[in-house]
Amino acid sequence: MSLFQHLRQLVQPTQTELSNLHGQLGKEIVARRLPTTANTEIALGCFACKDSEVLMQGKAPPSAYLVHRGPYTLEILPQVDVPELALRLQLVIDQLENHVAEARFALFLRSEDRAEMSLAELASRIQDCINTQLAQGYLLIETCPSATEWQNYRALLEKMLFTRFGFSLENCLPVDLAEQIDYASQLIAQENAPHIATAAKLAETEVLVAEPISNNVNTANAAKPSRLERVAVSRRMFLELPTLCREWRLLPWPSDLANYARLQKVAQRMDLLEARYASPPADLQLAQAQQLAITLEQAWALLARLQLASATQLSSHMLEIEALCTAWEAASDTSNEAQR
Amino acid sequence: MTAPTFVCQCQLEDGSTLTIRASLRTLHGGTAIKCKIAGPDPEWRFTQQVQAILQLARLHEEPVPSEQQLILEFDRSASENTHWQLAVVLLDRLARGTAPALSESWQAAGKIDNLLSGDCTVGAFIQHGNATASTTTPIGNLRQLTPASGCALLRQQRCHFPLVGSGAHDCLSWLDVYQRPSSDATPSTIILGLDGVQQIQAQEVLAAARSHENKTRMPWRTVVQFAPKSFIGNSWQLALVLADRITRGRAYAPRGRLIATGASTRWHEGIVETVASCQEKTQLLLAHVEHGDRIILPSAWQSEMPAHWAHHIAAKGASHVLIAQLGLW
Repeated sequence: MSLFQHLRQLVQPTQTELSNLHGQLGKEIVARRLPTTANTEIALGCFACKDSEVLMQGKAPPSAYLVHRGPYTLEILPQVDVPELALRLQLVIDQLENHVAEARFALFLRSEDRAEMSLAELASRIQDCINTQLAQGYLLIETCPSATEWQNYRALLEKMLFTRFGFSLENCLPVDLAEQIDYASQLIAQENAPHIATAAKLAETEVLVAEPISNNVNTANAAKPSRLERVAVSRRMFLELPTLCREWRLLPWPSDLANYARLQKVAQRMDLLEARYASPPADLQLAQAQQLAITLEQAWALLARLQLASATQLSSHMLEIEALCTAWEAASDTSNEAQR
Repeated sequence: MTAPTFVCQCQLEDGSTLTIRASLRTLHGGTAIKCKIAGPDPEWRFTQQVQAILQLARLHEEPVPSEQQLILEFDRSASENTHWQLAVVLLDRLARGTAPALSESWQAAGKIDNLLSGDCTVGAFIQHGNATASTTTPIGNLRQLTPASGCALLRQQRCHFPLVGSGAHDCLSWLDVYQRPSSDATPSTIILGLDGVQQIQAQEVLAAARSHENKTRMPWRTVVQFAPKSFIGNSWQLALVLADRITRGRAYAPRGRLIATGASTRWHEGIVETVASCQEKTQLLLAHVEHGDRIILPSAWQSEMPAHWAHHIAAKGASHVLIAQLGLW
């Protein structure tokens, strides 16, 4: 706990261990898990957050992450099939009231469960989020956007980045990557290397096929990544569901009677869901786990959209929330069946 | 030495037969695809149709050497029919040697449904062999004609533009831009469906709009097809520039249809200037707009726009923007 009290300026690093820990932090590395022995002083621009104790399960004693607030600059593609036009984002973890941003980023770190969170990894997670949203028909930049359309896009992106990752969007500028990326050459390269993509796809299917008979010695190795994936998703459900449900309850729902019963029902379902996923190692199927990971992304993005919506618009999104609840209930039902 | 001539008897959908001869010679000026149509009244329209099909089908292949000229001879005009399309593409490829040679006697018939994917109408076929033993191969896609086809590289975008005049022929016309990376590093632009002067104008618009782009990049092979409607004016320019940008990954494609009107004398600066008939065109757009349409108009129209037009457009589920300059987006 002493970590949380040590938020003080460090004029120059005195210990080599300390400089090692802080090395690259705030540049290529966003966060790093601290060794339990380190009684580190926290450099300016950093904060520490606890790792998830419940989930360590005797593997290691509770530890902490050291996180640099940034600012971080990274480039993302609003549309992956338009690779020359990117957005340059400048992100920071703000020291807001009640440390909401820190708490949200800490939640992301615990869900990811890595020794280190690199800037590249973070960029790819943000890109995944954007791609999921595009596939759902949101977060689309129109052809020749007007100033208002651009502001709306930016506002939604900003909200999404904060809701999911705890990042504040300091700056967001369109950049032309034409100097580095040539769409035409990229297309030709893809055309000339279809066998690589096919091989990768094949390997993926093999893992999927191997899944139901994972006890078999021959397929044990192939099934390993999928097992990790399943565990990771259970972990995410356990960690993220309470925050998601809490945030949903906090939305300014309209107080008309017509929606009241429906709202109450959803609230009850959320309580039950939280209880169901309170024990992390649910025995999920791989396909189910992948589906759950997608629904989690959808839930975060939906939350971001709802936070921007007016009270009257909220009711129209009730169906989406109900659909997510249904998906989560179904996954937990079948995994319980399997355990019996 | 004379190049071999390939002949096809093509049975059309109305039951009549069209005879097509194809040969290749060295180009001494003139067009790369020359059509000779016998009969008292050779139709310009049929020539245009044949050239359009062939130029688009050629985008599926490696670039054709610029010194080659294909001569196609038809025993009559068949502009009302479509089942000659597959035969013409096959003849073009046989003459240039990019499709494997067929046995002495063969015939082919079918329509090409989609020049982006190369898909042919159900029932398209090639039949070869002699009178006693012949085999019929159904053709579902142009890929079957040529082993190495690059249609995965093709990009296409349609952009609509309003045409107004006397009123009777007012319509929402369109142009299609097809592009693929030019692996042999020679850029080319072919404009179809316009008259000679307009073709040069379209070439100039594209060149000016692309002029600020880095010349060291891999160039594109471009084929632009205009809807078969003759018109005067230059309000199609913005539609062309936008579709060109989208197919080359330099602008975001809309979910629905793209509709644009605008012209410019300064495309190299990306300036979008006004075009005439704001009132008539906005009315036409209102009548034709569909859910999901993206409408792009010159910002000079701002003061002339009919009252509540924007509301009506939004109510129909479309969006619009007035632009003065094409920026990065």
